[in-house]
Amino acid sequence: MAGEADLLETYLPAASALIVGFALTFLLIPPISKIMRKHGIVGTDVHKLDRPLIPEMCGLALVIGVTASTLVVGFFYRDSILKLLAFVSATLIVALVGALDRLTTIGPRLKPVLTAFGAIPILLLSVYSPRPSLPFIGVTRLTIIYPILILVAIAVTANSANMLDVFNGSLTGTCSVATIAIVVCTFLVGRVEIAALAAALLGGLAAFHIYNRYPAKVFLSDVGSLYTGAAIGSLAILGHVEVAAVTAMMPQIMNAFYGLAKVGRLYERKEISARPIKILPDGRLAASRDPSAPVTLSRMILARSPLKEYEITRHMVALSSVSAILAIITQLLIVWW
Amino acid sequence: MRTITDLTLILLFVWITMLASLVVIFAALPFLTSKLTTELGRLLEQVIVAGLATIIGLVWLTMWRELAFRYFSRILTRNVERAHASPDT
Repeated sequence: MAGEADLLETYLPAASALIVGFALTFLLIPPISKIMRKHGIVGTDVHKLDRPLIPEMCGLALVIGVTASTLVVGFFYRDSILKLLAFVSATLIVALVGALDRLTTIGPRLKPVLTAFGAIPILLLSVYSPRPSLPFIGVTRLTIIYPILILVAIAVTANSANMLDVFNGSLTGTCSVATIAIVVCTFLVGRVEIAALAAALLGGLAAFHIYNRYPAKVFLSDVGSLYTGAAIGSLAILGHVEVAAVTAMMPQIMNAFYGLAKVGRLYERKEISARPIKILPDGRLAASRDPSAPVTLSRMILARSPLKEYEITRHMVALSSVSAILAIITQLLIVWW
Repeated sequence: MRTITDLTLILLFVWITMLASLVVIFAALPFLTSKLTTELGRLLEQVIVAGLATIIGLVWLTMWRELAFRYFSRILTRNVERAHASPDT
């Protein structure tokens, strides 16, 4: 009986956060997409032959849904209020950067700098531990360098998630899988309050995926994609699962790294004239043979043969699933060592 | 399926070399340079470890990039050759 009570105490907050995150996001998407369409905040779905106009900035529903479900987590874990406050403020700062980037133009160099500001609440509230645990090594001490790594981590996760938001459902699908890995890893290290936060994000992403999967009815835009990446980065730091989170985010990091390595600098998709992907007359997508086009994960997936848009997303989710399994193995190596 | 297998192999390579690099940086390097601590001081030891860690990190990134780009260009070249060999397709 006591065991059942313990189980309930451990998993009930996470389950509640998951349900609230899912329900709120799901219910908020239709009204927000109507508002965006009414105000002309729409973007072209460039990977379709008929190039439909889709409401943008609907990631606001995800931001509101997950932030509100953080209150549910706060109800269960009142002594972790500082961590929850750090999570909410860090992710909202990055979401604001995303909204600004959509409404104005921040530029490819300034955006990573501004997203790094998301780390400031975590640093100011001092809710991190500069002693990350590594596989085969155990606990290490990075007192001086760790705060700098937090700035880098938020900027890298936010922008690499943003760079994978290229196909219908690609970000929501891959980041949902990465978040599942973080939920499992945080439970493994006993950080149940962070597991509940991750569950809230998972609920929001799952709800958004229903609307964003092929053929997309809404777009996340930078406000949602940067928010998702920053949320994963914050969860990794607060949950003390840094190496596992890097492993779970490998497809996103790979995609960003290949693009950067090829172009040689930070860039925005719209400023690259040589597109990595082209649409065939039958609607399938093919890898561009232009040597100056950036090498992205989607171009690598398409190198062998042309595919439908949803097939590329499936490949990405499959790769994310492999990364998620590796992330859980990494965390098990840390726990068992 | 073949694409997923190939990219999974790249993922595995990146993951294994990342873990190996972490072991080298956090376990082997401080051990190897511990002699320097007594002779040159702890600060210099930290500088040397940080410098070597940076070099290992850069080598890791270069290896990763080369592996991925060679895989990509090999597949693309093969596809172009196939297209030339059968012009009616």
